[in-house]
Amino acid sequence: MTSPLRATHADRRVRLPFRRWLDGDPSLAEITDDVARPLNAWPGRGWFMCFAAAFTALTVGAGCVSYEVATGIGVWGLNKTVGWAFDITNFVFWIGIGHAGTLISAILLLFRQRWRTSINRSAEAMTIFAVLCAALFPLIHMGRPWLAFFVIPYPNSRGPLWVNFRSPLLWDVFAINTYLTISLVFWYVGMIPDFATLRDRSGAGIRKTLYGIASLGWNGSLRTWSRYETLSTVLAALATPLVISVHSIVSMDFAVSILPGWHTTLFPPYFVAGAVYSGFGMVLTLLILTRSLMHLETYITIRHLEAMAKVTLLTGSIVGFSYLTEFFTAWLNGTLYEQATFYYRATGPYAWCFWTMVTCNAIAPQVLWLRRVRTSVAALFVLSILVNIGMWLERFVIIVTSLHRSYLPSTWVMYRPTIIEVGTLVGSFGLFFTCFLLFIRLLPMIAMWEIKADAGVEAHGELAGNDDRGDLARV
Amino acid sequence: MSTELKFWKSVDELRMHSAAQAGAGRDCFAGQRATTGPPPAASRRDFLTLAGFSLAAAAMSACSRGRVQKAIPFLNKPEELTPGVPNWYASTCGGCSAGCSLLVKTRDGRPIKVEGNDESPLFGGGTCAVGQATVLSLYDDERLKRPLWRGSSASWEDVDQRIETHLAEAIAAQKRVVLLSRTILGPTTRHLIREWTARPGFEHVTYDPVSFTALREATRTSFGVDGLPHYRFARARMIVAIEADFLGTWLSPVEFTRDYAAGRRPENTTGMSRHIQFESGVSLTGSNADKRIAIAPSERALVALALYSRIARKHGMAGLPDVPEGFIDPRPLDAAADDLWRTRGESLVVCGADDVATQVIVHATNALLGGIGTTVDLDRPSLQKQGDDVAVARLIDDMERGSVDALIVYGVNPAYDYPQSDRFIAAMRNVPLTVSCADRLDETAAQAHAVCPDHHFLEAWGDAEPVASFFSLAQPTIAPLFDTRAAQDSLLKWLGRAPDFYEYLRGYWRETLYPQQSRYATFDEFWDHSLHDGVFALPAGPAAERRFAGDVSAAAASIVRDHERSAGERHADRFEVHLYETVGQRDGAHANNPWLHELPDPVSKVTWGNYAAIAPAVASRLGISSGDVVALDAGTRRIEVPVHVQPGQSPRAISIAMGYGRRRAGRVGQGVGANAYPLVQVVAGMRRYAGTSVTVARTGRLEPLAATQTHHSMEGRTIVEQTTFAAWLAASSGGHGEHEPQVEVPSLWAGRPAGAHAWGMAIDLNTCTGCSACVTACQAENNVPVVGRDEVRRGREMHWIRIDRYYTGSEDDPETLVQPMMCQHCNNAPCEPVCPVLATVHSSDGLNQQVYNRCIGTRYCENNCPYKVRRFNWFEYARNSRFDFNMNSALGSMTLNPDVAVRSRGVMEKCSLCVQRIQAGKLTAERDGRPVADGDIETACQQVCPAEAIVFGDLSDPNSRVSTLVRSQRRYRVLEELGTRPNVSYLAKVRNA
Amino acid sequence: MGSSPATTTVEISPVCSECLVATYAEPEALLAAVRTLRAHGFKIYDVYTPCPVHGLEEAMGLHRSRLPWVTLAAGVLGLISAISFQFYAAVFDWSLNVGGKPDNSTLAFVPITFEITVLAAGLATAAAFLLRSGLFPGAPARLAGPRVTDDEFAVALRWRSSVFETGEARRLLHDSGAIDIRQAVMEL
Repeated sequence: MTSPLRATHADRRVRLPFRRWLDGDPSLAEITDDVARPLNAWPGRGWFMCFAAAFTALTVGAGCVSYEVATGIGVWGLNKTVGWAFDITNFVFWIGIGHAGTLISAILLLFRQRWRTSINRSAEAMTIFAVLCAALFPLIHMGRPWLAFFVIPYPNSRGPLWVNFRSPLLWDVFAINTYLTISLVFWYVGMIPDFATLRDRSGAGIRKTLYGIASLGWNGSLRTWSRYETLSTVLAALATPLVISVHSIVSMDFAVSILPGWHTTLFPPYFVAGAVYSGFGMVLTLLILTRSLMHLETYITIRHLEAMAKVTLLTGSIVGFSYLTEFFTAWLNGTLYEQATFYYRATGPYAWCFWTMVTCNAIAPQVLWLRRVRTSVAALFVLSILVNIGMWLERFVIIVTSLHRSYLPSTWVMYRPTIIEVGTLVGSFGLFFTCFLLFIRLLPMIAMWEIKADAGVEAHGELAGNDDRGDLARV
Repeated sequence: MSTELKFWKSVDELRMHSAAQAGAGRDCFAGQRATTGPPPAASRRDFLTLAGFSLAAAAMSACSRGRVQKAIPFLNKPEELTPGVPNWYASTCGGCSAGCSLLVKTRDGRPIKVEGNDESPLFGGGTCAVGQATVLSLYDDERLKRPLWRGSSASWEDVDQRIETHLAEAIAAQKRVVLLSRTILGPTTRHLIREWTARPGFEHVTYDPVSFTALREATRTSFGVDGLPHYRFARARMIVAIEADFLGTWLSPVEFTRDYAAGRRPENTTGMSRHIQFESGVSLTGSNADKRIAIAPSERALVALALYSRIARKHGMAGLPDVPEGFIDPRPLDAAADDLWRTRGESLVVCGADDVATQVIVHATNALLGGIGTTVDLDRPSLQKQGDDVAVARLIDDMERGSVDALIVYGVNPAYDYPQSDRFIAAMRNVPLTVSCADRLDETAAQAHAVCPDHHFLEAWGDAEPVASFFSLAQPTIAPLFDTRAAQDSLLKWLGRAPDFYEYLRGYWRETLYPQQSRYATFDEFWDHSLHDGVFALPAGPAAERRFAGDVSAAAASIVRDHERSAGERHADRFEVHLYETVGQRDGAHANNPWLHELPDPVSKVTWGNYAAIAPAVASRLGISSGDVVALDAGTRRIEVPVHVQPGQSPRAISIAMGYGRRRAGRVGQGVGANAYPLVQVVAGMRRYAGTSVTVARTGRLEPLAATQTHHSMEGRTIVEQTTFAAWLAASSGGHGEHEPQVEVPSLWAGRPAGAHAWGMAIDLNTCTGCSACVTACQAENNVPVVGRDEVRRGREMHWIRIDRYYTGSEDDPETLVQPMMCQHCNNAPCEPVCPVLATVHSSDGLNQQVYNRCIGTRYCENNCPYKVRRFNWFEYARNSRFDFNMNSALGSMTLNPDVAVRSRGVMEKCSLCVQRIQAGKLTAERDGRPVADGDIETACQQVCPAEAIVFGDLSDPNSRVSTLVRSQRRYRVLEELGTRPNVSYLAKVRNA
Repeated sequence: MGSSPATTTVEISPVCSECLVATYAEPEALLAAVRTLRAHGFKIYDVYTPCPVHGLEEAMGLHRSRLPWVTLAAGVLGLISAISFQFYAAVFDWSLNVGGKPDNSTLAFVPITFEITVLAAGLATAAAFLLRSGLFPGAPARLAGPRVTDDEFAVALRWRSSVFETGEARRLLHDSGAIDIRQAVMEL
């Protein structure tokens, strides 16, 4: 919708010079139009098909979870020796996915990586939805989820009755909730100016009212802007150690135990790298889909994809190196149990998982050294899928192969997932994509104000004085 | 236990009370009051009250009927019942033919646990898995609730009237009335049956599902003794067993285990006894032997003969039969013979073979070794297994011929367990009147005209004489749950006598036993003390001179003949079947008992069903692996069972357990496994349990075995530590491997202040045979649910204690090691810090506690437990039709221990070291105003262990038994290098090289 | 208000609540105008932009926001309360033997302490920002122009009679390339 007002000003449209992070040469008004378009237009068939698929998956998952909660954990394939498998695998997987979002929005902000601006909003959204999926699993993996509130140290009349502050699972509770809260705040604060924009360009009606409420009366005052940028920096500065702490703590669920294959100090950095790696895999998947689905090739350019491909290559190599380190440590420390665990990991009944994982996580990303691959959307899409598979398997391998053959051979067993577990995993993907598809319809999936700001900077880099500093695309 | 016995106050009070009970109350017993104090102090009062109790109980059991859980209106609390305080009654186990003496624990008037009677000179405080499970059979939904006539329920009067008229006509018409019964251990019942057979035309045939006729016959011909030798393993320093699973299923496992274990302690001044086992399948006993040699069933006789001739040569005898050898490596035979000879007088050869000749040879060997009178007691022979195969065969012929007018079946089920059961069933149809006294509508009862359900032994009066002049009494511990009647009462009734077996019992004891003793002045005193103690033994008479009078050469000749005859069948594609009893199922009588089905076989660790055990070499040759269902074809008979590849199995033999494949056992039991009895051969009336030649064919079907352990090697880890006796003697430093037990792994933490106690446990791997009685005892004590075959297949059995079994050495001739494994109650427990809600924490006295109410079921503790002893409630196991076992029925739930919570779904559980018993012990001590003494508190697994391999106690008391054991040089703790500091210690296994 | 042609002059009585609002299409023009006006001693009430314009804060002479102090304070508060609560619960209120570990397992308390610190700091900063900027649900949006949240940049000049009498301000604004100058009553 264009107002008569806009028409009268059309003649004074100013053309800014070429910008390297945007294709074409949209004016500020065009930026607003492009980003706001999908929010007004009726979704296309592609979107509806995706949504139908996602929602079906979500329903399947809901069914499986209800059945499990109503009947008992026994409907899963776990047993006396393997107490965790799909449940915690999915948990770690989704948490990892979430981290790329924070990384893109916070860490790259601190590093002044301007290429993040067109993808950070959707990346943050991805974070929030991924953390929601992740938080589901610690809840439903409990034998008595209706007593989940026991993990909260609330004042109670049961005489001194607190929680165990030594338990990594409790650390998880705090880490995940903090992470979710801070990410939500960061995400919402980032959208306030865009809500204002949407408010002011929509005629009176429910839409204007809603945007009005959401925009909290934002009017673009410079003083607010100046505080606003401080706030963004502060939040980014908080989120950066936070994201590292969260996955370190997740890794401590394993590192703190005495189980060979879990008990290793390597885990925190190894897990964080893996998380970023898997996260970027998922971001690639999503953006490659959405940019074609929402026709945003102008803003999510091949150069964005290439930059992400480089991060993927870096983190993927760290992950591969961690695999080597694990085996080296096992060999080095000379304990029978540790060595056996890794021997069986590579040769035992789950060896196929292990080798698939190595292929997807350590070997596959090496093709990204080639610029031709980095700039091929199709190749990147395939690779991003491989990354997702590989990283899911990594968690599965770590959890199940370490558990199923631990200290006493008399307790060695095999674990086989049931259809319910598979359904729950599918359901978590359903939840994630349902949320994401709704997000790209209902909220500005690209931070308009940041694009505009960078548009200014790019046109007159000398004003910013930091043109392309630390620009990965140049490195 | 006896210190915990409760006594009554006075006869009068009791009589009044019983009268009141008879009117108002239902099943609860008259006459018990919980006062404490050791028996000697109260023996007088004891005697009076017991007398009163007997009358009352007799009266009660006659008049009271109904469901016991409604029985006790605590509005007017029966004086003798204190809620929360158990009453103990001495009784005798009816689980198998061994007749162990028991103490029965009752709570609120219902038996919930049986324990061995310490005062029994034969059995001690131990019991076996079957004995432990009998209490569950009492509360079996499938028991008959009332008599049946032609399949429809009838009144006792009606049934009795029909039977009595028929018997009267039979007597009048000079027809034959046959009572077919199991071996009768009870002297009184035997006396009753003598009266029965005194009637013209009335006969009695004894039938044992698993026959010992051969041994019996051999003993008769060799020594002129009517009975089985009473083997005294405690006196044997050298034991050679040929296919005799005397620790698991053979004759009297509890007694033998106790005696055997006594000789297996390396600390004994006399040293440790040696044990060599020749057998085809891997039995519990074989797995404990110093050396086990796998032989084909057909070679047992040859082994016996070879041993005999070696001993005879040493004895300087001449003219020995030449034994075909070369079928087996002679060295172990020589070694065995040397050891036997060196320890002659203290050596013992036992044999489970089912042909007379072999047993004669074995008797001859024992005679040469001077074992008669020492290790083989014939003065006071064992009175078990009096069954007579030939008589049974003849009876069936007569029935077929129609010359039997009435058949009364008591305590046996030949329609299931007779090899030619179809013949028996057909024959029953030729008998005008067939009466069964079965407790359920089993295979035989289903064919009978009348079913007169017998009491469960916990409901009935009785006595037993398992070994001559060793008596044990049985008294009701609960009034009959259903409208059943003791079989003895039935017999009395049909004899036209007053159906009051209690009086009959007292009468017999008054007439027969009382005169033979001199200790008590009056019969009542004698009776009450016997009833209180549960056991009574007559002093041993002068030892008679027993000479071996058997015909060795004839026996040898027949053995050689058999060997040559069977030579034709010994080629690659034919195998010899070896039928055996399992520790859990025995002959199949308890097939509806879920505890016993869930009990893992001590060696194979398989639950819920039988299988064909095949040697690894054979399996690979035939391309069969565990779980493949094979068809075993013996020509006329053919059964299909899944395969279990058993290391150590004789490549010539296929072992199959009997006692499975019941068709009419009840919901739980029927259709579990395959019935192997049809593979028993009947040769000239004698049942042969081995040697049947079969071919093996794959069916293509797959039936995964439900095994609780699927990996059998220790992978070079020091988990079960073992050494040789010589090495142990030599190395003063414990010497079980390079492992150094006394070194404590340094801890990062200062440690916590010590509590009042430090509960701990020591398990002697040398005396532990792996019999698994502790598993069932724990299940009974701690309300451990049964999960069923599918869940066991998924690796979700709930047992709090398990017996880990490892093989070492080659697949064909492995050495077996067992290790009871339960929560190790680590002082630095890995499971504790990881629980987010503090649902598992450490008590001040060293227990690792699980707080069910707080547990939210994250299973993190399970993952972090290096011993993997934690058990998760994957489902709601109680009151859940999905798990239709005892916990799903109101009746079955009566066996639950009220002192232990029934866990809900979603919580973790594990061994609590019987914390309820610890509490009880502490409370008793506190009430008596004394510190807890060593031995006050026994865990269920410790109490049940016939080998006394498990010792629980206070580690902070330097003089407690457990402390002394912990100071032993054999002591080590599993995975202690992890720094978990377990409170459970193990004493390393010592074997003779 | 409507858009009046750039050249018209409107005579009105001086009221403090009145402002002179100039709109620009280019951030650079805005920047230039701000510099010029302040050089001529004009007191700029505020500037309204659809996105942050680099250099504008310096041009306006705004001092740095004090929000980080809120962050620090809240963080310290969160840290102290978290560690002390855990210490109290595990050592004083409910001392238990958990795996033989000491009651005061300080290292084990670190992760939760850190998370609480971050949470407190983040939430407090965000809250402080909203309060200080008067942003809350339902707050009225007082716009300097219809498109200042889209693609236009506005500068609001506080009324000063002497200046307006001379019309100097208008001239400066006009020269600095304002596409629209108008006089408005604004409760900004």
